[in-house]
Amino acid sequence: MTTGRWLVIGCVAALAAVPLFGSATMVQYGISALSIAALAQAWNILGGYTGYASFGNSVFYGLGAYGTAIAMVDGHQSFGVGLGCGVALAVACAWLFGGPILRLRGPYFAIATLGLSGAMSAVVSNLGFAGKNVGLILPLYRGDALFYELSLALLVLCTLAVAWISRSRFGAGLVAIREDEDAALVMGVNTPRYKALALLLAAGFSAVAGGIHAYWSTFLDPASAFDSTLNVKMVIMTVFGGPGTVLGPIVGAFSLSAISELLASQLSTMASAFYGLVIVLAVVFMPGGLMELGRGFRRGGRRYFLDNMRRFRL
Amino acid sequence: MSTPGSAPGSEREHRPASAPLFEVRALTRRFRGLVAVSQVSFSMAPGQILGLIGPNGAGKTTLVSLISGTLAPTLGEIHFEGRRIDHLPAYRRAHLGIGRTFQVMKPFPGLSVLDNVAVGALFGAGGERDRSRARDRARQCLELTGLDHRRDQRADALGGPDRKRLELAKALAMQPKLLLLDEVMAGLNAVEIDEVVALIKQIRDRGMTLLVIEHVMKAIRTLSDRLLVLHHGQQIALGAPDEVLRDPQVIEAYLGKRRT
Repeated sequence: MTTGRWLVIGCVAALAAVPLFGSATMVQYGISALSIAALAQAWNILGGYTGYASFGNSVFYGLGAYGTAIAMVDGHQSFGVGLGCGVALAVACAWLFGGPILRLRGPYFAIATLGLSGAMSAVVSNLGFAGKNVGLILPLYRGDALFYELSLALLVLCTLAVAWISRSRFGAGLVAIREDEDAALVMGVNTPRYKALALLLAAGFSAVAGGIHAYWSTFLDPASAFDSTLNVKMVIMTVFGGPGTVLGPIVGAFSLSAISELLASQLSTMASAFYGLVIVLAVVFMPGGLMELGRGFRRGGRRYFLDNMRRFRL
Repeated sequence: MSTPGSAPGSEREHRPASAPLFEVRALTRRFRGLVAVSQVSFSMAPGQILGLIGPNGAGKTTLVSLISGTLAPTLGEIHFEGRRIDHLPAYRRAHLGIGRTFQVMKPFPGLSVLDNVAVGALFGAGGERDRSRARDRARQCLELTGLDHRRDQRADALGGPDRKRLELAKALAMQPKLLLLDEVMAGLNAVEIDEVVALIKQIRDRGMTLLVIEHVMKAIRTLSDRLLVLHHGQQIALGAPDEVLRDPQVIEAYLGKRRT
């Protein structure tokens, strides 16, 4: 095994040990940081590799949460079964809407997915067994350590999937779609199937994160389940860290959630302004995110930023 | 594959008489009122080079798009190796062995030159499953097109002539049986044109069948076994290059009617 691989295993082991030594607040912060990192990684499959900027991933997150909650509250099932139901619900939704939505490109795709998130919230608000707009209360489980380890496991699983994608023929096809879909099609990439698979993968992983979060927070309502600002966070973190890279979304999610946690404890309004500022600066000065920044800066120093600015004709 | 009773001597001398690799029957494409391609019919024997010429707007690129599958025909049929393919999506046609280049070049801008070409090796007719073996095949195609020394550069860093070479290398990596070249010589200088002509001959000698759109008349004349001339979407001539270029209708399409 290479030293890089040992380093990764060491990091995962250290993270897994946090509940043994860390404080309760640290574990709670860890749960949200790990699950947003997993969500960013799932977004990376569709947005980073395939080039389809989705604002509908929060829908899959919400459906995962609702599927889990409905199975547990209405069906009196265990958490494991509930999670399975949540994933099945999200994947079914992705399969159903993926066909028509994935025919759209660029901003049209983004708008359609945004619409999906609004529509789904309205639908759920009117379903009796989903608690209408009052919400559902899940059985209480005391044990943040479990939720922490589950979130970590999900992030590791997502990242392994993305690492496989980055080396596989499948991933080469996704990247070709991102770079020029028409050329990819003519060169033999089954673009409809590849896009659909990317969407299903992203939906499945997002749904698991939603299910874990629902059980952890014990309360679920449409506003919090289908929150589009959560989706915006996935986008910002991935773009900041490095879209289309294996570690970029994790780096982006960990660094930004740490900074915003610090800011939020000082000035809560600053935290939201901070995200806006970060996305503007990141897109203009380092479109490849932190991952590319390292490489570009080593090669060209300050010129890296100037070149990027020139590319945007600023 | 040879069919009994086909006329001897009608094909290229060094090849046995055989069924056409590829055939187009009464192919038509309308864009609302405009008929871009109208009732075009021709066939191609394996190993043949068919030149496709015509004034600007004649429907040449539309015809190539109909064959490669990026446009659907309004009417007509396309047959490839004896099966009808006009209902198949573009990627299926690529798997069967139809490759094309784009006149308006479509590199994958953010990828290295090598990775651009590797996509063709991974997904084309000879679909290589393994990425490192796909890169090996891509290297061979880059050497053939004289682009190997730039393999690690990003595709969007290439200049015009090198982008043309990249288009060609990407299509070659797909290992197509039928290769559609849409103006790969446009914007090249005389020396570069000679290089591309030699390359196309070399590709043909490996057994590929080529349909070549070109405006460079000298090049197309020496390359083609047959010429097809389109004008306003109509097929106005099909035959041996010298005969076709003497055809009064063809001269009229290019130069206008002689005043009497």
